[in-house]
Amino acid sequence: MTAFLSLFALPLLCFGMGTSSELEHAKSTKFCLSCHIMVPYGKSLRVDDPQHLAAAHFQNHRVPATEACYTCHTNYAMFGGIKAKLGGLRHIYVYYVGTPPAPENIKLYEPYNNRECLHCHAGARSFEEGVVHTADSDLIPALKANKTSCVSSGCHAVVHDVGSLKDAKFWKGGD
Amino acid sequence: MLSTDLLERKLQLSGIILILGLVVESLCLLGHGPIAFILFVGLGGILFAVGIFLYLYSLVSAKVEPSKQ
Repeated sequence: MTAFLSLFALPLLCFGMGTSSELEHAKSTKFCLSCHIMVPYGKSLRVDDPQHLAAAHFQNHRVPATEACYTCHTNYAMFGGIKAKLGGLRHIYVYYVGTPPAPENIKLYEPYNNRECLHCHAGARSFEEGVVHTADSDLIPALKANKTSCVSSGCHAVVHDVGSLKDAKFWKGGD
Repeated sequence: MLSTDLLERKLQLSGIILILGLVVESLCLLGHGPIAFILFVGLGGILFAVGIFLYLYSLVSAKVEPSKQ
């Protein structure tokens, strides 16, 4: 019985608890920004300009500041968390084995899905009754159907904009 | 010192591998970067899997002495 507990049950329990802790830690903003290539993206969260979508969400706690990257970049479909983790493994592979692109050349694998925005914004008064959103009666259905992107030009197009950080003013608070 | 008995030796080996796995995983939990995560799941996970497999294998491969009736 002792052998079973120490050689089978305990290791499985330790591995399970450890994996859960590591996966939880992997959601943290600190974890994502621990790769040097992500540093400009971390800086872009502190740009002092409300037009910068990611910065406005981070600074106003529209997303949890400690899990800012994960909150927007995970996929809110059924296996979103798993897909995000697999994507993370791919990033690690490219970072250490492949040739990582320059930070300003990093692109999403697929266009940003409005589902991720609507996970929080759908039903919110500022979204449903916003002046710009209601100016055209076709806009909200198109946004909900992901036919018009929230981050399309003329809407919330400035997300991270790491290419223009050298001219930006930064918010010093929030530490 | 490993035992001369085959079953005990396998169990000891399994224990050693599992302790190594625990050490690796404990050290990885102190780390904060992606490499710690990879080592935790990769190296720690493999050591645990090998240790547990060896333990289970030692049980199923053990020779049972016929009962004296």
